[in-house]
Amino acid sequence: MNYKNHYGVLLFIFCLLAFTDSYARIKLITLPVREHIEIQLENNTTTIIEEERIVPLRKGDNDIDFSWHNSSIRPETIVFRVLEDKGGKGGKAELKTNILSVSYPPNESALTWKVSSNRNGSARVRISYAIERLNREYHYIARVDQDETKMQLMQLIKVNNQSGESFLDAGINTGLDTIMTLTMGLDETQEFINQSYKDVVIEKTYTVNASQLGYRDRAQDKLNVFMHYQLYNDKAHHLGQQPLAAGKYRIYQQDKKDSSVFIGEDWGKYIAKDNNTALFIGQARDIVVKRVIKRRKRQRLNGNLYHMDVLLNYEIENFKDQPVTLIIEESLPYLRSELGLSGRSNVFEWQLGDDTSFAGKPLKKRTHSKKIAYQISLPARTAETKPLKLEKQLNINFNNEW
Amino acid sequence: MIIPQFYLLVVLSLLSINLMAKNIDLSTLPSRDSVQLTIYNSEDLTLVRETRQISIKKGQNRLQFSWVNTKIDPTSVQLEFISQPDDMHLTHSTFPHNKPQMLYWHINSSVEQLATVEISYFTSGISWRADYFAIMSQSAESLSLDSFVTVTNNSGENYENAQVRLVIGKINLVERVNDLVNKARDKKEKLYKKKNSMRLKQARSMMGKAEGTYAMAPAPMADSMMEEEKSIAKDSLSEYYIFTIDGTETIPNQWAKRLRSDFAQDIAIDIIYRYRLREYGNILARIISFTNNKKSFLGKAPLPEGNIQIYQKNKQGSLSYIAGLALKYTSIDDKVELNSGADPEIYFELVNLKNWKDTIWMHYRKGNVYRRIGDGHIIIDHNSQVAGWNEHSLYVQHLRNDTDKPVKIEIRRLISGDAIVKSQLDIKKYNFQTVDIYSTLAVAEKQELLYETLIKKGRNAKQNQVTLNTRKINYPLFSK
Repeated sequence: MNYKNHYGVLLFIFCLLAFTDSYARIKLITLPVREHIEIQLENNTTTIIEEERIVPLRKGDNDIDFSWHNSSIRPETIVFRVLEDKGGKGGKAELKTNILSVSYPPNESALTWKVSSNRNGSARVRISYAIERLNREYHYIARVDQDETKMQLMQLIKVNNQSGESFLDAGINTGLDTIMTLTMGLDETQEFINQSYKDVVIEKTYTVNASQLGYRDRAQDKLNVFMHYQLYNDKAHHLGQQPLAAGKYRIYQQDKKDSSVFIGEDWGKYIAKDNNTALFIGQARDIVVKRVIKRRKRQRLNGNLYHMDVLLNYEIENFKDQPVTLIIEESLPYLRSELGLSGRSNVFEWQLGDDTSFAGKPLKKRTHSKKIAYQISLPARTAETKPLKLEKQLNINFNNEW
Repeated sequence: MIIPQFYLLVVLSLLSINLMAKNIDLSTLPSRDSVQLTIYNSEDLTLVRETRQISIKKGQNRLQFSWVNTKIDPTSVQLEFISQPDDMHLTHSTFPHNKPQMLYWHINSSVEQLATVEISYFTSGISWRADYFAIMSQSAESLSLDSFVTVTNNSGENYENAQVRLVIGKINLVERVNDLVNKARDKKEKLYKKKNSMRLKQARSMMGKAEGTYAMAPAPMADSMMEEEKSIAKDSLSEYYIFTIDGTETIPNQWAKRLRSDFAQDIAIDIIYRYRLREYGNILARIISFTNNKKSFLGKAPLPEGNIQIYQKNKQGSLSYIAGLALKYTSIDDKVELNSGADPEIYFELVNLKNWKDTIWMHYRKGNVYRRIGDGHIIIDHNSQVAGWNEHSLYVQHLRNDTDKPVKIEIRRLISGDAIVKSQLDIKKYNFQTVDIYSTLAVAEKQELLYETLIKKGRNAKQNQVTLNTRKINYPLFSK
C-alpha cells in the first residue's frame, strides 16, 4: 500500500514563529513524525488512539498545531501530555514545560497548544484521542471433536479502518499483556488471532420450550428440540483467563476422515469470567418430544375465586444411538395463555401438583416464578430394541385465581 | 487582521449642532486602553467594560458610538467619566433614526482635558464552558483532574488583551440579549427606549466596579524566560462565583480558547455500584465519586458544570478510555458523582422466584358483608367477589464480582402500595415507597440476596407506604 498517496489528513505542526499573530495562520513549520502509535480497543464502544512524537521546543513560548482534516477524531477527547524528562543527558538540565492554553481556530478541524519551555530541547509528547469509524468486531472459530466434548477455540478480531487516517506500525491493545503490531491503511480491514484456547471442555444439551422454541409439528404436538453447546468461561473448562467478548461463533466438527464440517453458527454474548453461555447449533431431528395438555380442571372455592389444576404430558423418544441429556422448560405465562386464564396480573401463584412424575427437583438456575425446568437422561437406542418411549407428567396448580 | 467593527468617534463640534442637518464631521478614533469581559455561563450574556481616552473641549462635545455587525444590546450601552466626573456631564443621548447600531452622546464639560471614559454594554455571542480531563490510576484508587475553561467568541468583535472574568451562577433575565439585538435590527423605532434597564443596574451592583485605573499590565512575555501557566483567581460574590483569568487574553472573533483553571492529583476516589432505575436506567451503574474539598486537593471553588472525559492508565502506561460524562455543578465540600455505566465484570440479575396470595377477603353483596377465606366463617355464595388480598413475592438478587477488587453495591427498589419488605439483608428505607439494599462483594464472590415483599391489595390496603421486617428468607424448594 502506498501511504504517500494519502494527503496529510492528520498534521502535527510545531511552529517556530512562536510569536506570530496566531490567527493570521502564517507559520514556518516542522513536522515531527510519530515515534509510536497505539490503537486501544479495550473500551467496548470507543476506540482510542495514543501517539507519541518528539517535538522540538525552544526556550520560551511555542505554538504546536494539531489538525485532523478528513479524519473522524472526537476533539473533546484530545489529551496532550508531555512525558517527564529527567535531564542528565549531556549535562542538560531537566526540560520543564507548561501548557498555557489551547486555541481553536474558526471553521477548521484543528487546535493550537501554547507550550512554554525552560530551555531549548526536544520533548516527548503523547496525544490521546477517541476516533470514530475505526471499528472492531470479535468472532470465533470453534472446532469440536467427534464426540462433542472438547473444542479448539480461536478468538479473532477484525479491525476496519474508515476513520480517514492511516496508522503505520500501530500497536493494537486489546487489553491483553501482549500487543500486536499492524499497519492500518485507509479503508483497510485487518484480522488477527487475539487468543487461542485448547481442549475447551463443552457440554452438549437438548432443550424444548414450547413458548420460546416452538413446535416442529403443531398438528402432532411435536416440539422443536434445540441443540446447544454450553460454554463455561472458567478454569475447570480450560478457559477463564479473561472475559470473552461478544461475537459470532462459527462452529466446525471434526469428521471421521480427519476433515471438518461446518455445523452451524451463533452469536455469543459477552461471557464474564466464571460465567457461561449457550451456543445454539441447530435442531435435533432424532429426538422427539410430544407435549399435550391432558387435564384442565377448575375448582371453585367461592364466588369468583378458584384454583386451576393442569396436567401436561410429555412423550419423549430418543432415536439416536447415544444417550442424551434433555432439558424440558415450561413457560408458565404461555401455559396460562393456552388455558385462557385471565392476564389480569403478571403476579400469579403456582405450585407443583402431586401428579408430577419428573424425578428429583427442578433445575434451580432455570426455575422461578414464570418458568419451570427439568433435566432428564434419555438412553440410547440400541440395534435390538425400539427407541424407549418415556412419558413424563407435569402437574401445575394455579391457585387463588379470579 | 480583522478590521474592528465598532468605533468611537469624537466629533469635534464647538457649536450647537443640529444633527439632522449636519452630515460632514471631523472625527478622531480613540483606541481602547483596556477592556474587561465578564461572561455569564447561564445566559448568552457578556458585560463588556472598556476604557478609552478622549479629548474633551470646554463646553458642548459630541461622541459618536457605533457597533455595526456586532451583537451588542443597544439598551445597555452606557458612558461614565472616570477622570474628573464632577466636571463633565452627559446631557443626553441621541439615537439617529436612520442609523441603527449607532448613538451620539452629548457632553457638557467645564474643563478642557484628556478624559478617561468607560463604555459598558452587554453583548451576546461570547460564552464560556468548563470541561475536565480525569486520569484514573491503574489501581482505580485515585485520579488526577485537569479543569479547563474554554471561552468562545462569536460576538462579531475581536477583543484584544482583554481581562476575562467568568461568572458561575444562574442570573435572572427578563429579556435575552440576542432578542434585544434582533429587535434593534428589525425595529428601529423601538431602539431608543430607556437605555439603562434594571438588569444592568443589578449586574453592576453585583459585579462591583474595579478600583483605580483600567490600564492593563503588558503580558509577561519575554523570550528569555519560561512563562508560567496562567492562574485563575476564584472569588465568591453573593450567590455567584467569579473566575478571573490572570493577565489578559486575546480572543479573535470566531475563535475559542481553552485555559487550565485548576489541576489536582492523587484525588482519592470511591467506586460504588448502584442500581437506581429512575436515575441511571436499568443497569447496575458504576459510580466514581470524589469530594470537592481540600483533602482531595480541590475545594478552592465550586466545580462548574461541564463535560468530563475519564481515562485510566493501563498496564502499558498509555491511557484507556473509560467514559465521557456530564459533571454537574458541585459546591465546595460537595461530592462529585460520575456514572461510568454498566460494568460487565459485575453480574447483576434480579429474579422473581415465587409469588403467592393469602388473607383473601370475599365481599357478599347480600348483606354487604366481608369474610376472610380460611377463617372458618366462610359462606359459599357464587355471587361473592374477591375484595382484598395480600400478594407475596419472593425475589433473589444475584450478584457476582469478577473484578480484582472488593466492590460495594447499593440497590434501590420501588415497592409501591401498602407494603412490607421481609429480609435479613442490610436494607434501609429511602422514602415511603423505596428501599435501599446494601452489600459488599469480595473478589470472585457470588451472592444471592433474598427478600420477600408483601403488598396488601384491594380492601386490605390501608395506606401507601413500605415498612421493613427483619426475617430470615429461604430459597424456595419448588417441591410437590
